[in-house]
Amino acid sequence: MLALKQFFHKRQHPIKILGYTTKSFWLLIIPLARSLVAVKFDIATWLRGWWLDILVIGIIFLFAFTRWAFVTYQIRDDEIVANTGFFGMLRVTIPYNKICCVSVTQGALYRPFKAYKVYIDTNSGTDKSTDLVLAMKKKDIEHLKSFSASPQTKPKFIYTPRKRNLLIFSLLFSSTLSGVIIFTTFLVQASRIVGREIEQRFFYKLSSYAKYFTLRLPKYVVALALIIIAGWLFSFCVNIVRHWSFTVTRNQNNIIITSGFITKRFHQIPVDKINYIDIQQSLLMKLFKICSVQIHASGYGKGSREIAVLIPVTTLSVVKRTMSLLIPEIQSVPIDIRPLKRNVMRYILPPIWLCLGIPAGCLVGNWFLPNWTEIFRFAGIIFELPAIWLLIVKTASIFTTGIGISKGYANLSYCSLYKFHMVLVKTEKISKASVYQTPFQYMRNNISFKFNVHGESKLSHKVKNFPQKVGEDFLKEKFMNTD
Amino acid sequence: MIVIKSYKPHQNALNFLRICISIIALGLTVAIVIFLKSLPILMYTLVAIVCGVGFLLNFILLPIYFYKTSCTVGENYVSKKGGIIFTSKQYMKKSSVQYITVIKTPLSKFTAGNFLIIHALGGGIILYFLSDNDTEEIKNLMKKWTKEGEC
Repeated sequence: MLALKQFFHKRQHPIKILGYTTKSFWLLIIPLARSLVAVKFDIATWLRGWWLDILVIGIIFLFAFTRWAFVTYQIRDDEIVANTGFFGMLRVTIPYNKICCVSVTQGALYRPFKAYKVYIDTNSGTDKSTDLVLAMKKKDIEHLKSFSASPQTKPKFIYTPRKRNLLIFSLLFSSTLSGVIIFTTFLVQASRIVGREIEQRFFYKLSSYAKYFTLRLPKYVVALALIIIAGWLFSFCVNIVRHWSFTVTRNQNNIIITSGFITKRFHQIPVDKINYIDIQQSLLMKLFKICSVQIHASGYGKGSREIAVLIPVTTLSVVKRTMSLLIPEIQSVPIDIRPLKRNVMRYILPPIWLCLGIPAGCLVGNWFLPNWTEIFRFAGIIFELPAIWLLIVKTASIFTTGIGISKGYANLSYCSLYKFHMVLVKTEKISKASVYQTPFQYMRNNISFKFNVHGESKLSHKVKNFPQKVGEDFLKEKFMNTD
Repeated sequence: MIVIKSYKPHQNALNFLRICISIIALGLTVAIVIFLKSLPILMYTLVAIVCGVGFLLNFILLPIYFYKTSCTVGENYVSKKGGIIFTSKQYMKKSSVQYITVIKTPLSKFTAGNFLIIHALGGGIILYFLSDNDTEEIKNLMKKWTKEGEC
């Protein structure tokens, strides 16, 4: 009994065995269960008829069990050590002072078994994968938290957004594309497991709705609109479920973020491991003086379709007040240099070309394929609207773009596509600053900046079109001469 | 900003690349002449393209690239300047340097096929075609910086 206890002590929660089975495992087990019901639980007949499938499932299970048995971990005083990979050949040691984010999630499958999935990430590795992922028991999680966090003290500040703000956040950050991708993946997976009925039923419904609306609109327009609406709604629902009961707590040295309705999420981020704060706004959010705050710390927001949110959506004044209590370590500084207003064309020329190019492309297409007039007209309107919106956003961006560096902090304000960013970062966390110049910028003595910040990804912040002399002097004086 | 030393890609590398490009262009030309003898128009067109690209690389693009590229090591920073049409200057502070990777190709003593990658969290600088001595010098300096960072 003691030996058995010892065996389980250093290993992951046994639920992980299911995780180690192949993805096609469910494709085998469902028909097998169906067949057992079909033979009215006559085990002998069932075994005779389905022995090969049962054998395959047995092998898959044995393989999963072997993988689980070889993965062990130890939570030590100053580090966590794990043997992972096939046959536990990969030994991973992560000192607690290098951990950037500990994420704990508990999905619907894990909850009845009191199991948790733990993601431990550092600034090394890639931005696509997590350094260490383990399925743990509750007592191990508490053990890990007590070591990796500062001594447990009372929370200094707790921020809970209003439900209305969460709705607005989900509304604004729902992406049609990601919704369509999730929904399609769901449809494909579901049709693989339970047959093609669900897929056929969906397309039948879609076509019946399309028929209903086609009295006034062309069929393909209705179908496209329905797919877009369904995708967006799906993404909205995913966002709302993911961020429900969102809470941010600041204790001694950590930011603790909890959220989730079906899958409960808990993230613990040491404040000194936060690389930067990104205050994001769209043009409409700017007009309504609201914004969303996201933080960049390796490991947080890494999951698929996860947003590294700190404050979902609220007014600028509330953000200012909340940030001073949540993360006073990172401060906002005023903008020092801005692009010249006479260089407005450098901002608006690409969207102007886009605005002119779309109708021109449609006209050319129509000339070659005169029977497709209706499609080209529809596509022209659909693509022209975002192009015009981009032109408006880029025109506004000339008034918001700028860089400020003082007191060891940097403020990088720029516009990327439709989004306005205000990145607040400690200058010590800027790993590389680049100045680049296109031939057009060379002709007008302009330069652009690219800032790389600490983290796993080589993502850079591009702030464009400053006068060359002013920009270069600023970089030398404010960035290079400080250390 | 105090400049300690500036480094440029070694001339041997330019010559080596020119020889390689010339050999490849010559090989392709011979192959085109042998295999496309029966299609003279296509043959002459392809020969002209291959020779044109070879000439462009050997006498215009590579010399400009080698002339414009330079690396400067300062008291507390390392910078790289380069680019032919789109120019760029990259600056990395001493405190950001995490580690370096040195890639030495065979016969690098004669071909200057030495590459040095300076890694930082979230970014890096790659220095191409350095001479053996320059590679050693920068490597030692970077080692010193990373050791200072550890202290």
